[in-house]
Amino acid sequence: MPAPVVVQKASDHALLEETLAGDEDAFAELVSRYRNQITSYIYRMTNDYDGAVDLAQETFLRVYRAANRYQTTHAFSTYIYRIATNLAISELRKRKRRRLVSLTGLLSGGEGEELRDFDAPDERPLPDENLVDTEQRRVVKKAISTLPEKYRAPLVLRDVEGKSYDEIAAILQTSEGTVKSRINRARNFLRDKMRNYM
Amino acid sequence: MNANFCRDVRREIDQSELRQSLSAGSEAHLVSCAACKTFHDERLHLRALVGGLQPVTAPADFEMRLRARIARERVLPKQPFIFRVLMSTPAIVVTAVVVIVVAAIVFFSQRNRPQAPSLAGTNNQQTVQNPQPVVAREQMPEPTSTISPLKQDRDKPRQSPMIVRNAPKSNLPVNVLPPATDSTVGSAKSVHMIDRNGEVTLAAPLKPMVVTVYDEHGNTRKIQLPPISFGSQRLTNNRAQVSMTNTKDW
Repeated sequence: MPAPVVVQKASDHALLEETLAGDEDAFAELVSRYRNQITSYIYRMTNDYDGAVDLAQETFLRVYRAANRYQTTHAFSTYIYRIATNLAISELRKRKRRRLVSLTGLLSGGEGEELRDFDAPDERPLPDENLVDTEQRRVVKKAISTLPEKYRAPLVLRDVEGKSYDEIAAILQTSEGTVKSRINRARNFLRDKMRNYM
Repeated sequence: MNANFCRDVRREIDQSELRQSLSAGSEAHLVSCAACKTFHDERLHLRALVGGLQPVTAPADFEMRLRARIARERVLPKQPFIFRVLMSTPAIVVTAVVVIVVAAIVFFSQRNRPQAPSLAGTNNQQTVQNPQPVVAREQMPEPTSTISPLKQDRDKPRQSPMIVRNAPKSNLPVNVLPPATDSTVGSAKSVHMIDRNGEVTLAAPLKPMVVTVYDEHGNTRKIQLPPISFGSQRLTNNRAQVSMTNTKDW
């Protein structure tokens, strides 16, 4: 009776090394491992699906371009999330600049004011549970999108992506204490914004 | 209730994993402290809401589009490093700043430089301060009478080409030529022919000057002018006969 074939999954580092050696399939494997995570993460950061897909592609493109400069001191997931975070934050800043030059941006003020002005559009209870869930999700998404970027990234990484504090600290290149403090503040912001749904 | 202990318990609640149980001390505290219990429930609900967001997936053609982008990047030639440096935003900003600084320096240096008095203004002042009698001015020679019109003609757009040949060269040294003045406004400087110490003699040309003139039809005219001595000799009275090679009246 033939022995069962054990297929060992190649590590991310090994796949990247094979990519560097010219193996296109290794890079395709890396993409298939992370494409949904990265797209979802950027989408939670930017609240724009098409933009998130575009930025996720740009993330993989940068990984591909800089494969020879990759250092194995950190996990590959930390590395790729860092690139995705930087791209998402750049996109958020671009949007902020665009909003600043627009007339509505001039009248509405900064992000802090946006937080204060945020209100759930409809406070009446909805009859159908599905509709309640949908409404809750919409409000949560909206509340996250109103968070300042320095609070948004750690909150999404922690509560949506389920990353550990030290991993978040490595992704954001800051200390664990700062990460914990920012997550705490982000949750307080969210609690204030979603008080009607708590 | 100890406020410090409440703070520690809340910190533990905040930093714990979603399904992780708290320490025994914290669990006991939650039973007795309603505020911390409320905080605990709120936090759990909030994290469940945020964590309950449905993950989005990448589109089906994600990999194909990514491959296309990589292939497109390979095909496009990368611009040289120096071009990327020169066309970068900082380089453009630095260039703009340098241009502005240079323009400002030139502007202020021109503005602060003392202005040279204008010729007309100077001549007017001279006229007022040293009025010359009309008779005396008529007797004064016009040293640029034979040269200046030709020079002026050269500067003007010509209607018919005129070439002057065999013109005797002036014996005047270049560095002692009198400065050009506006003869219509002020009087010309007097020229002395007497040799004295420290003065320059302005000798008249020895040979007669022959001027050959070509008109636009190719006809040639020669004009012979006697030597001119600056001073009392009049040009029109002593003019030599003009030799003409065509039948036209001169």
